[in-house]
Amino acid sequence: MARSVRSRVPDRFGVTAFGVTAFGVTAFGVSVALAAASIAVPALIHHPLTRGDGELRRYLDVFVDSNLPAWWSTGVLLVAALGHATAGVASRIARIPGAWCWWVGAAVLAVLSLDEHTQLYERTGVLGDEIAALTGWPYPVAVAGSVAGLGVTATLAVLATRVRAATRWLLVAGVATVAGCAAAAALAQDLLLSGGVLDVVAVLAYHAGWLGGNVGALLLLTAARSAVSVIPEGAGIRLRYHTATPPPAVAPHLVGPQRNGVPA
Amino acid sequence: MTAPAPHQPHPVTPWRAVALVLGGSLVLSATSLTVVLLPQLFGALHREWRTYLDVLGEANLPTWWSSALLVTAALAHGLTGAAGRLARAPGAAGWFVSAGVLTALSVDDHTQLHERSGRIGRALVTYDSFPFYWLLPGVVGGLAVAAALVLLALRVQGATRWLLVTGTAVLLGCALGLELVQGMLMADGHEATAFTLTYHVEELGENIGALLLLAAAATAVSVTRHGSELDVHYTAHRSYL
Repeated sequence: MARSVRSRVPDRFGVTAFGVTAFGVTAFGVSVALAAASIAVPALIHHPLTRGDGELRRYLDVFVDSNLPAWWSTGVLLVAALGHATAGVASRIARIPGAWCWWVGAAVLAVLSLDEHTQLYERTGVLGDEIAALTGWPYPVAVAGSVAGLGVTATLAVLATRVRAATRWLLVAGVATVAGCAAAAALAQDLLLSGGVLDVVAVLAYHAGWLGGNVGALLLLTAARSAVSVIPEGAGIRLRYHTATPPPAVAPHLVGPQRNGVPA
Repeated sequence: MTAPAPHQPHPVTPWRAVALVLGGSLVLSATSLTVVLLPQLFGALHREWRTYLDVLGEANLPTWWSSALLVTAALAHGLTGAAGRLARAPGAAGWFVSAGVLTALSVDDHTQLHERSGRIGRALVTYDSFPFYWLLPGVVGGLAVAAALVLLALRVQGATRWLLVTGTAVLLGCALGLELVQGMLMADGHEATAFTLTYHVEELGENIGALLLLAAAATAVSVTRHGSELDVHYTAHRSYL
């Protein structure tokens, strides 16, 4: 089947087609706006609804569960999970080994989204205490979490070796940002609850941690996006998976003169 | 059946994924029903399991699932709209409107927005003692949702149209109709088995409605495998010729 010239041009970072750059920038802008609203609304608007336990403050505060920022961060992680699943499908269709790594990435991001929505980590503490009381084995959740974390890290390391450079660095940056910000947010939460530091510092640190978590998820979404080219072709779209080693390009001088795409 | 040759066009259908998501919704409903009606099966941690699995709860596994289903449907509608726009199909913008509507439903599902708006409204204006005050804005919102999706259905054809109509009817029927039934059961003091079954049917129906709307977006495009690549074309445009 004849292909258009445009379809032969690989997109850099997977962002040339379909406005995905605009999507990423818009999503980042929404994250920044939500973090700013969480700080600014109670600070600047003096009303019972925006102070203390006021309904609007609770609806916008990134420190509170089941509200607008929680929905947003849960959704960003979910969309990143769907992006990894799509990259897995494209990889499998292209018969490139390692599609399962994308599936693992999708599953981990889905669990992180679930955790963001349901405070799964805190809840497993109750289950862990029960298991520890029954078995006498201390820290079962921490041990299981560490083993799972090592497995996920190993899987992403395998994936990073099988994708092109742009995807690799986006994966590394995304994982480092998500993990670092989750740790920073947890630390800030502990300090805020214990009153160990100035409230303002802890509040800013917690907001920065929340925002960084969103940025990490967006980097992981962009990583999955950069593994697949989305190329407009006529009235449709063509999806093409990229490997670590691109197919060798044929230099024009080796092809020789052509007429209508056929060697003369 | 023999596998297609590597370079032969091969259609990719969404039905396996739809069946998987339907299975997930059914399993979550059955698990919730079990944890509510047969607490003895869950031992000393029953309360914790119920908090995490009961579809009536908040910030738990079933609410994440239903919110995620709505977000996925919204994303699918947005991508279908983009494919329709690329194909210059008239009315493709309707998919962006439905994506916005599904996003709003997801926000409401996740954050209990309609219940919060009642509390905010109470702080700003005075209500009388009408207990279902939220139903009025709820009905207005429901009509807006139905109008957006029905207008889109008029612009598309075939299975996509019927999936849109059925999905909208099931989603709104369960969200508004069965919630009203629950309110009547609560008012009559019937909060035992009938109430439990009603809210499970409501949550499962909402999930099925969202899944039908997701399937509508999936059937609006044709996905064809060409060797190692996928071609996506918008096919739901209704021809008036």
